[in-house]
Amino acid sequence: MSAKAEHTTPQQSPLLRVRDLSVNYEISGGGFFANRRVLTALEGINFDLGPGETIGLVGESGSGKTTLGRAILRQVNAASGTISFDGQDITRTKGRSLRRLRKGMQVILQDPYASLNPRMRVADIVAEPLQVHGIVRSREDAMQSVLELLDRVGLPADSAQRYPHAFSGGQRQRIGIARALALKPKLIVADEPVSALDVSVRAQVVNLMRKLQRDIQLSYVFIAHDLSIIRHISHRVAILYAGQMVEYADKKALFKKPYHPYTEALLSAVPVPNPSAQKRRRRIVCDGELPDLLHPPAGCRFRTRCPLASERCSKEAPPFEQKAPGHWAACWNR
Amino acid sequence: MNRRDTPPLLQIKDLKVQFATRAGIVQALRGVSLAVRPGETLGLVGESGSGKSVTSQAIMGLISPPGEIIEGQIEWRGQPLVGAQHTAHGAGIWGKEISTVFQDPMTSLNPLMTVGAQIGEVLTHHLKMTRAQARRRSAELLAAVGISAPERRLDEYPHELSGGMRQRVMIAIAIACEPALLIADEPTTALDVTIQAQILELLVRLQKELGLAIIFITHDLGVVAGLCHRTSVMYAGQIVETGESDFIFEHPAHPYTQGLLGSTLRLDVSEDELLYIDGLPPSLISPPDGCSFRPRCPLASDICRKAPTHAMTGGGTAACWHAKTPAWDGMDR
Repeated sequence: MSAKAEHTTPQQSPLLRVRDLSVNYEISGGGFFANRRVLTALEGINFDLGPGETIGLVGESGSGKTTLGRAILRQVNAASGTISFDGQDITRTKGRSLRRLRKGMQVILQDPYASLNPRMRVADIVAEPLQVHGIVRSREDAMQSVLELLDRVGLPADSAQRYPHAFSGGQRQRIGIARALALKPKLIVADEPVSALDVSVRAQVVNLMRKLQRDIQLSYVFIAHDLSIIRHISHRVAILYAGQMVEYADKKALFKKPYHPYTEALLSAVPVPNPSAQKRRRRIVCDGELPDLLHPPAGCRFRTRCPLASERCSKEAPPFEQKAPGHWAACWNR
Repeated sequence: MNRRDTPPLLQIKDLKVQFATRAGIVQALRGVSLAVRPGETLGLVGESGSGKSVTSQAIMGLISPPGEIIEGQIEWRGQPLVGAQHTAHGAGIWGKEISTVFQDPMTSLNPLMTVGAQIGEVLTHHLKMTRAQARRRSAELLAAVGISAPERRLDEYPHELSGGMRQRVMIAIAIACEPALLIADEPTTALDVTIQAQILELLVRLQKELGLAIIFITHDLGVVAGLCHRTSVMYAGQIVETGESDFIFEHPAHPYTQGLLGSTLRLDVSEDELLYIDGLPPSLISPPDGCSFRPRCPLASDICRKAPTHAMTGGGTAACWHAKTPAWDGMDR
């Protein structure tokens, strides 16, 4: 078996399988006759996700984590590679079959203030996907399902007749989750679902997502910039940097012994609310910023910020290889 | 530490601020008192609507209609600061002795002015430098905040810089007049974690080098833990707990502080079911009488209908009748 195919879930057949996925964006060079340039947003991404599992995609702005979520949802097209969902290759699915496919995968977005239409009642927001997909004919028909969905996410039945402005951030996110659940999806792509919420509310939404997963075997692709939330929700974690996967492991293994220096830097950068622990922690300073993706550095893309960078890192890109059973990383010096 | 013996730079006493809105009068600050001493970092922690940013606006003299300071004092080196707008006294303090760094550097920098012009403006206005002097000093300031090739950066516009660089420029502007107090209002919230770590390190270094006092406003308890000598926790327009950071994080006394710490998703602890505080902060148009945390507090009892006094906690004070009682099940301490 090739290295690509190996870091998979051997136990069960995966719900989602991503192989060698690359996504490009065309950037206008400015001006009418300017050359169009190609920005490689994602390159050579591989992973599997089983039913009822969560994979955390972690990285900073520009790492490609949102692009990966959008590629899975087929909102952007792959330049190469394949995405399979439920045993079916969906990389080039179009038209009616794409529509059918979308019932199976739904999205929860970051900002519940921006992602709910302020002029629609909650009942209509939650019922809309049912109507769009022709599962119910009218709002009245949908009411029963709407009430069940609201109950499932812990909102009172009388929320149905109210408008989004009457709800707090956490409650709005629950409305977004109810809408995502309306079509009984198998997979939910959650793009930073709690980043915009207040601290005391985040835990509520995380608890709810975990309960739903237990109850109805949902799979999550959970996108985050913050490893502390990943610790509470993911089974497996993929660390992305500048469009490439640099580390992939079980949550426990990753937090116990990260292999990639970028993962270490990310871990040490997360502030911990405990002054004495904060003082004890080893600080790994990661200088500089993400490289320009139009002109990424040759060799390892992290080498410009890496404390371990050596001669070899600038010549050859490190292979994504198994450093311990089930634990993959791309680094020459580890 | 002898920090405690020196007279405070800034002292706020029982500050009340309200805003007139169509829905009614919002009591944004309901009696806030705090003091900052030279060289000290005070963390002001709270969630949306707790009043932490209104506090910083009040200090900077930025409360204007429909907002109004209705009661209380703000003193700078013992001199009153409320109502000093448009006076020589105020002009010598705001922007010069007290400066600010805001959350979003893209909206606080002028997109049509070069970086050099924006730093230079502060220097020519407050320190009466000539343009040539200002340019030289601007380059030094950029170097001081860790920007490489400062001479070249002076001629760039904000959009040519990354988020982290822009925040460094904001800090360079803020320290241009060598202020005694820097108010940092969520300065790292919009940044990536590794960049956040760089900016926090920069602030710590500048504090040591310049002897700055800092009021650090944030919703992130983790940031406070690593940075601040003292911490004040705000809830519904009041400070509910205040004390030495080392102490507060080890022994939170107020149920809200306990809940906030317990519900923070943390890297160093992995729990199955996360604690959360049920309900919402109260409306500040008609806040509950007595303790404002009462409707959400598991310890609430009859006495809580009376406004709590600040009780000593050992490392500070907490406004709670049941201070120091563990409030939540399943907390790890």
